[in-house]
Amino acid sequence: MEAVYTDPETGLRLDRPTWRLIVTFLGTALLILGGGAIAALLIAVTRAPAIELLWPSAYYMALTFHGILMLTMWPHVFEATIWLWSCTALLRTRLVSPALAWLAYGLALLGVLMILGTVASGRASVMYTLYVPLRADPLFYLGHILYAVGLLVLMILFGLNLLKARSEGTYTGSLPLATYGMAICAILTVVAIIGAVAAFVPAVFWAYRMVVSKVDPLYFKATFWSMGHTLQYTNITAMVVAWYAAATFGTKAKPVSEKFSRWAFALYCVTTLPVFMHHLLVDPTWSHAVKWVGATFVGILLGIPSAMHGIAVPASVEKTLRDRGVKGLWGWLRHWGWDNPTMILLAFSIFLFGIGGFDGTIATTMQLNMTRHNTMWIPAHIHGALAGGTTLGFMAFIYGFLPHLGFEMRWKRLANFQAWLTGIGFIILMAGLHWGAHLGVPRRMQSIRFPGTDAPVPNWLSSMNLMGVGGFLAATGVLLFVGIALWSLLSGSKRAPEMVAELKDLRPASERA
Amino acid sequence: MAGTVFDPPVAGWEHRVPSDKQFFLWVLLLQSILMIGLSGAWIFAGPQNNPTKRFRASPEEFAQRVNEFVEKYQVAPRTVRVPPGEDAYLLARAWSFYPDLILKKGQTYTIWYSSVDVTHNPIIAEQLLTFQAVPGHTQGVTLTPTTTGTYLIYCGEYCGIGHQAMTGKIIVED
Repeated sequence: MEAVYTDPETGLRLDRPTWRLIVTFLGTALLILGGGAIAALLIAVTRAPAIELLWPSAYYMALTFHGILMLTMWPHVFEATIWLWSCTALLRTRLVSPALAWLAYGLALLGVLMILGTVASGRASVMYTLYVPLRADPLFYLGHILYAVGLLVLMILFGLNLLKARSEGTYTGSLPLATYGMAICAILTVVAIIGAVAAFVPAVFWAYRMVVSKVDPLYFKATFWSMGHTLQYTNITAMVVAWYAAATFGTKAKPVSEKFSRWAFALYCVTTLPVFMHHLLVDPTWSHAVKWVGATFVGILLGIPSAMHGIAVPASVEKTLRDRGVKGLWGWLRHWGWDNPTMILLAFSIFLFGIGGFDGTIATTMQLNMTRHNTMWIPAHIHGALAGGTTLGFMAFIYGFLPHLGFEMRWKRLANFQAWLTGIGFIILMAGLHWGAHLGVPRRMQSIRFPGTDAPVPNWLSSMNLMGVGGFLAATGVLLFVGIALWSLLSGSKRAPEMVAELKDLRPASERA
Repeated sequence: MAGTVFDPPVAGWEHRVPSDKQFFLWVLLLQSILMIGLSGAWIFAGPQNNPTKRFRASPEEFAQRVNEFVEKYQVAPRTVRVPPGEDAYLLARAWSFYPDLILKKGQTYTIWYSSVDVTHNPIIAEQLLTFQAVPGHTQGVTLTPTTTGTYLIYCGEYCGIGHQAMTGKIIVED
């Protein structure tokens, strides 16, 4: 006898071990997101020159926490939820081995704790980019390796599950689009993990002062970003899956053209390969030809799949609403679902991701990079693409997904408020960051007053105060989200499992006929 | 719920992408080709391009070159007036840029820069010019100042607890 949860709305079924894993990964991801948002609050009130709350050592520690929690940890731990769900419920099967998934969780968690512990001890305030020869505690590098190995175990499990479902024939034809997207996401993750090994294994020996006496900074930077920026593309691929899913949760939308969307997913595999070159455009390495081909040529093509999804997702909502009788050129936008937090956050996510994407395209144009590298433009790009785009997209997904896991959404009106607050907060934040970028405000700096110099310091203060307001609102919104989602999780599932004698096949009743 | 992203696609999905959707693809592709082409043409036709002059030198060797340069042309402590036609040097070290450079408006200079400890990133404020200084690698940027004034240089790459105090200066004279 085995326990199975059936989603009354979609008919999709989940076995209990997988359900537990999904809830565990989701809860852990929410805690990480909450930690990152608290750090974000502190950073926002420090970078606003009107307040300048933290002193340098505290600020750089908070910034390291913020970067690592929000970039290195939150998206991937959360993506585990979508990976597990898309290779079980959506393929109408159960996990090959829940133990393997728990192993992945344990390794990643151990890595996370090692990284956070060394940062909290003050011996690893090196930012999430940790460029050697900046030195951190050796455990800090070791933690990254454990975390990467945990992810790799999860990828192996995901791959095995695809093979299992295919061999058992639990679904017919091609993979569901969401699973297809997550498979592309898994491929990119494996590519990124190769980069992680190349970057971190020498760094660990160097940090322990064993065997390796010197790591070339450019080698580390290139390999670090072949992991780092590729991982951002796994986030983007998962975000796109979350977009399609959120549109389905919110309006029961169907993709307008499966082929169009699948092509867009597949393109990510090609265009993300030289993505690490974006970071070395003004570094003392490579010729114009290499930089232009690797970063500008392929980098701009990289925008095409994202733009395709950015068109396809709203189009799927538009088509669904038109089929329901919504009239006029913009009627679908009026009836988008502005009282549903999933749909509000989906709209903000697509909008902000578009801005972040354009920022990235400009920053990766070879000559323009000379005016953008390491200025406020880069945080603007990250906060558009990763925070505004990916995080808000995942939030939209979680609001829609919780009821499908059997959890009742708590504080629905607050969730509505939270969606607007976060979206508007991010738009103000982006306005401040872009304004600052055009004035040349430095990034990652506790104070921008430069009291020690007699050279004229540009007047940067208004832009950064505006950034502070936006950052405060956005971080508050994220914290509210964490509160709502965690409370909904902790209130417990309302759904009773049904006992099934033979669990070979988890196909919904409608498909088993 | 058949036909959603949670279900295997309905049969026949693999036929051609409908032409109204292909239209978007062509628009995106043309935009991209235009931007890529402009950047590529600028390498040959444009006056502003990324630095390509570089050599490898250990931090000690580079520091020695900078000291020789400063001793030769020093006009005040930490301040060097670079004669037109000569190359200038800028050394990044936690947490300052050394030395302050005085340049002449309208003259073309090559500024060689590198770091002697961790990675730094000199940014000329207001002019928004930013370059990475990496220990062991020296890079030379060729530029012609066209406006006079004093320009702040600050560090764009996190380099430790004094990062927010790391500055330098370029003075452009008539």
